[in-house]
Amino acid sequence: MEIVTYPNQGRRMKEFRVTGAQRKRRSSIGAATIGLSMLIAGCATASPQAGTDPAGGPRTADVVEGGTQSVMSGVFTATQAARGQDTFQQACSSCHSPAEFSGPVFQRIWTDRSVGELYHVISTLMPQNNPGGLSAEEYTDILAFFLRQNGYPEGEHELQTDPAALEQVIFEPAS
Amino acid sequence: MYTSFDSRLYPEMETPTKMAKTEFWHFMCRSSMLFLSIAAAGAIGVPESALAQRLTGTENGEWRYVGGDAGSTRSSPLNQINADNFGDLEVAWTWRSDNFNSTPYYFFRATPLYVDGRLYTVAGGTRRQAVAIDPPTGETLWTFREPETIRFLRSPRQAYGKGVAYAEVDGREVIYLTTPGFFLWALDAETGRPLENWGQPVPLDGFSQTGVVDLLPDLLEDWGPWQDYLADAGSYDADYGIPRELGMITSSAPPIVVNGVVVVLTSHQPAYGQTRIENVPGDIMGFDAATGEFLWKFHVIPRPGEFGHETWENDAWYWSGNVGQWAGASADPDLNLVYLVTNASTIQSYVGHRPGDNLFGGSVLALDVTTGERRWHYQIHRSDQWNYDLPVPPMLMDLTVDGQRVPAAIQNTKQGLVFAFNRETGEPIWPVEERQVIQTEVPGNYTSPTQPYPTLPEPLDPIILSGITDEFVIDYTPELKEQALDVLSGFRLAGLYVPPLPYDHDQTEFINQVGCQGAGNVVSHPPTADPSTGMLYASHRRTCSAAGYLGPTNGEDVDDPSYASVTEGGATPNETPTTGRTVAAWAPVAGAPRLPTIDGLTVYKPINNHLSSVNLNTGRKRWSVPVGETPEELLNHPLLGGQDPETGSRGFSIQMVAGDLLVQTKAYSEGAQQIDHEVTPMLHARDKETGEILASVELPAPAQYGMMTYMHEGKQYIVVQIGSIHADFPGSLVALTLP
Repeated sequence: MEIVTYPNQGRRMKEFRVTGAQRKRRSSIGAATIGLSMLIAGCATASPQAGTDPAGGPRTADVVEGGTQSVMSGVFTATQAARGQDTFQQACSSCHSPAEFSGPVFQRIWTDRSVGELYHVISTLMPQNNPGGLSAEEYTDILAFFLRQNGYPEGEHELQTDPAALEQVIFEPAS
Repeated sequence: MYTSFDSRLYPEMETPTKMAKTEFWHFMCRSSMLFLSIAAAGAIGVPESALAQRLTGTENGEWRYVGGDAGSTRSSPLNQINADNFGDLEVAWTWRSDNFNSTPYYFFRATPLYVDGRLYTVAGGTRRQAVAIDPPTGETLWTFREPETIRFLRSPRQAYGKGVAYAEVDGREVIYLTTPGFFLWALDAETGRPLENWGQPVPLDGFSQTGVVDLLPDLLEDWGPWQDYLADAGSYDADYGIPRELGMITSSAPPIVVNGVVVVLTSHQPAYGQTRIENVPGDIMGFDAATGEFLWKFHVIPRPGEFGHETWENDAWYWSGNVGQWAGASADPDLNLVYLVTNASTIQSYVGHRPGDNLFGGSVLALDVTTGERRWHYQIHRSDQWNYDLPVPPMLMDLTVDGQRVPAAIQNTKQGLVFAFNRETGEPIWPVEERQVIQTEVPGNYTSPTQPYPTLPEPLDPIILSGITDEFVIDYTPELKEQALDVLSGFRLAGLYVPPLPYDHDQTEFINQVGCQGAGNVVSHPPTADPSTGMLYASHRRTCSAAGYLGPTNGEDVDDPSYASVTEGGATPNETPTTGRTVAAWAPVAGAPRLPTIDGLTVYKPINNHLSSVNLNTGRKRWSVPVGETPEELLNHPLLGGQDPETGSRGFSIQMVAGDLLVQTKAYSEGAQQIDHEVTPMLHARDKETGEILASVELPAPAQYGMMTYMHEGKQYIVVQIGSIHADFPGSLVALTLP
């Protein structure tokens, strides 16, 4: 039995017990419970006071300084974004507009949060009728499409499908 | 607060004198129909005890409307195929749509008609070609393709064709087709050629001089923004259509022909993808089936002096658009009524620019087909902001409620609510409760204080009434329930009509709001009903989620890249940019805290897909069965403690009543999405009384959207719409029959 704590909006502490059997089900980014904590922690950064709240989320100042990349540094390719657009059209456009994932307000909400966090949200909860039903490549392609929509620069290498690597790619405003 | 009948909603009800007259006429028509039905049943050996309950359309083994009968019940009395021989069914033919597109298209949205020895439909893909097919062999008899126009290429609904309409007019058999370019065609049913001496010549290359009506001039002629445009030196371009700044209109559902009138339905860019507040209203128009002459228009956004005008504050009636009818229509020829269901108005996320209940959005409309006048309406939801647009036409049949025969209209919804009306009067058969709903916190936005909930029929999934209350929390082990309650404690919980929070929502009291939906977009897995018994069969899935945020736009938007601008060289398919001029003040933006899962498990008891039956005579649910097996990852999930949650497999049940059988299969697509099917697709014969599978046969690919049945030269066929991206199987029709 393992107890995992995670921050909830920087205000409340929660406890989850994770069993050995559960650990077997962990993805490469760690237990889904940890993914849950990251999801919630990410929410914390969206609140006004969260930027100064060292609530113990996965993003801490030293992590940011240690080996992270900005979305401004060319983290995806044009080909990947085009693939992502096709996938988005097929898998997401019945309910979502790409506009939800771009623009100044989107960038403000996501500033200092990681692309990996967005990956976690869409790869565990979407599509609504088949959560987790796309491949890691397809989810990552969709993220590349979002990055292109925001005007972030294309680069020479594709955005990696490794969730841990995606955790190291950090949003910032496009201009 | 129960209201059994809100007279405010029906101020223009028939006077008693007129009612009496209508009833007499109705009785006479019913009596003659009963006689004809008995004669027809005798001819093909259909033992059905209560024939008068079924509307016209499936006599003589035909399937005259997309929904089978005029009441869209997707049922037929044919019973040559029964439980004993169902397992012997063989593929008679497969009609594939590969060569009707530039690239293979993997969907087949249209349900064919079978009339007088021929099948008619539209080819599955973006071209939406009308085709006639030989019923015993699958041979293509003729095809019809509209000449290309920029307005066709701009249409965001090219691939959404749901079929065609049929009528006999002055001894001519005619197929009616509305197109993405917004033209109405009348085709000779025997040859597919545009009908002689019909409609108005269209001054565009390749268009015939007859058999076609350009729908835009009649639609636009009395529309204020169009008149302003003309006054400002604008002119009509029949190739391009409406300028982007004014709007975009198209058509996806087929027209319906009732008593010599072709009723044309409209659709638009999906309102969840829109960012600008102006568009053209999807007014409903009637044309003379014999000549193509324009007869009437019903303003779906009421003009000054028209009923419901006051539900548009801020003068929004003038520039708001949409309120299309993409789901199709039903009709009662005896009552001379056509029944339509509507979408939301322009932009269905933030509506602060059009405060008010916005009639006739989200409504069932019953219009007199001769005059286009509203006989009754019922607004299923006010000021839609949840993408709850009505996805199927009402099913019409006669019921016996408390010993009284009731001519009924049954309306299924995305929400999972089922509404039952007297289709003559619009009066709800059972009381409808007005429930308070969560109000928007977005500055300037509008939400209706209450929304209607029928007390009966029972909803398909009771979770929609109050959301994830204790009985719905996942509880397969006490530990799991504790964790789920822990997660939920951070959220504000409700059922339907949960609005999005503003992006800077203060999370002190709750992180986000969670709502639940009980049916889904049932256009791709429509309900069916058995008019001989009054039983409803509907597929549904449970979805609870936290709403996204709305964020301020500061008057700026980003064009959806899928809807890029039309260039000088024309346009590529499916490219309609957001219409209008004025960007809405708020728009959806990703980033709101979502409802977490616990090691992949939802915090509520999951339903992937259930098939439920409701006795519409009593409004009570009879049974609910899971469709498909519980997915392995759930079944073997360590937190479930070995229990089978009986969720059904992912996907959607498609069904049709045929004689004594509930014919049913599983679809793996919804809209443009397709789930990989891991099992062999099967068509099942289920017991109508219990839902139990009695016999099964394989299908070449998973089904989509619907199926139909017909009797040709003494032999019954079942046609299923199939296709799969994952199996590289193009959108097709497969016909099954006995050896």
